[in-house]
Amino acid sequence: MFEYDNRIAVGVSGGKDSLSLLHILKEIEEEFPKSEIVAISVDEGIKDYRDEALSLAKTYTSKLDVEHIIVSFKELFGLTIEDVVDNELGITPCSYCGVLRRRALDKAARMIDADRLATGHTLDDMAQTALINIFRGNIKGLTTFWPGGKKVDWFVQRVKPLCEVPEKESTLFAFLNSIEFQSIACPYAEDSMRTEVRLFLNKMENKHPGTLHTILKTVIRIAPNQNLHENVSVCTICGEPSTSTICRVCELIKMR
Amino acid sequence: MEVIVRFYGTYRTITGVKDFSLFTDETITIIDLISMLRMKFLKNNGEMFSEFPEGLISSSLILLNGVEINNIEGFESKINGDSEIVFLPINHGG
Repeated sequence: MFEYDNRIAVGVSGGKDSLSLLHILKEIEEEFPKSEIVAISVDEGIKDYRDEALSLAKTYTSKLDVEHIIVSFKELFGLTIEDVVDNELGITPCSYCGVLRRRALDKAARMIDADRLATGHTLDDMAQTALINIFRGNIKGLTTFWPGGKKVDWFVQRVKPLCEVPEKESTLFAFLNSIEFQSIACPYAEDSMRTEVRLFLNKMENKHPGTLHTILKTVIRIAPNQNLHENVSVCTICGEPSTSTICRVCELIKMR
Repeated sequence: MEVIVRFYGTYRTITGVKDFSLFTDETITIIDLISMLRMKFLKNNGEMFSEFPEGLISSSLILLNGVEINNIEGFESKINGDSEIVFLPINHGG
């Protein structure tokens, strides 16, 4: 996932997983003096919820003496999640948030010349995403399950160091290391399919331990080794890398 | 014996309580404690202490004196002597 001299952007939301990841990477970084870590937080503009999370992120990055950059939806896209909550098309806030947040993180990582963009996705997140892709018939989503990341032109290589760590363990790690993290859910999370899938997978894992690991291992094995370079071009509106004429970010912004 | 219960995250939001003590002469289990909490916080949505998967309990870490209860006897873990129980929700954020 990493080289010894990488400049690593770490997506830090202020939640337990990203703060645990930051803690661990900071410890490792100290053994590799040529490497660097920069924390990146994204402000989606969810009142109170994100304000609290950012405050926790600021506190912890300061404690670890890690450079911290905050980018906002408002600056990057001219809108906040609050602006799109009640859209007439019935697109959930999560759909907007996921797409725009990925773009925001990628832009910020490129802005700081990062070699890697690390996110705190856990085993639970990975298994949930795998199932959501199946439910939505998103085959392409299933074929890009590379937790260790792959180098793709224009994009900073994304890595998910906690991809095999159950969410319970990242939570326990954060708690036992006295990391103060945001412990309430996003007020818009109930609207998402992910919440339903999460509850289902919790039930399955409780009844059939190992389910989450099996889902992840299976999806990784079936992801073909395709060449992603062929499919990346440029959005005709924003000029960002895109696999279609108009990127998903611009599509969503146009729709609201 | 004194049992200190500490709530984090959604538990705090729903109960309005950060931590409190309860006193008992008998050894109780975690499931006994959950029943007590369900009654105590019934008017504040006691269903959050349901043991069914849909309830918050199934997506939480419960620590008995710093040890996750699945490393002891799960919900049958006994609370002996002065103890601290932590309820920590896990399904949130990242």
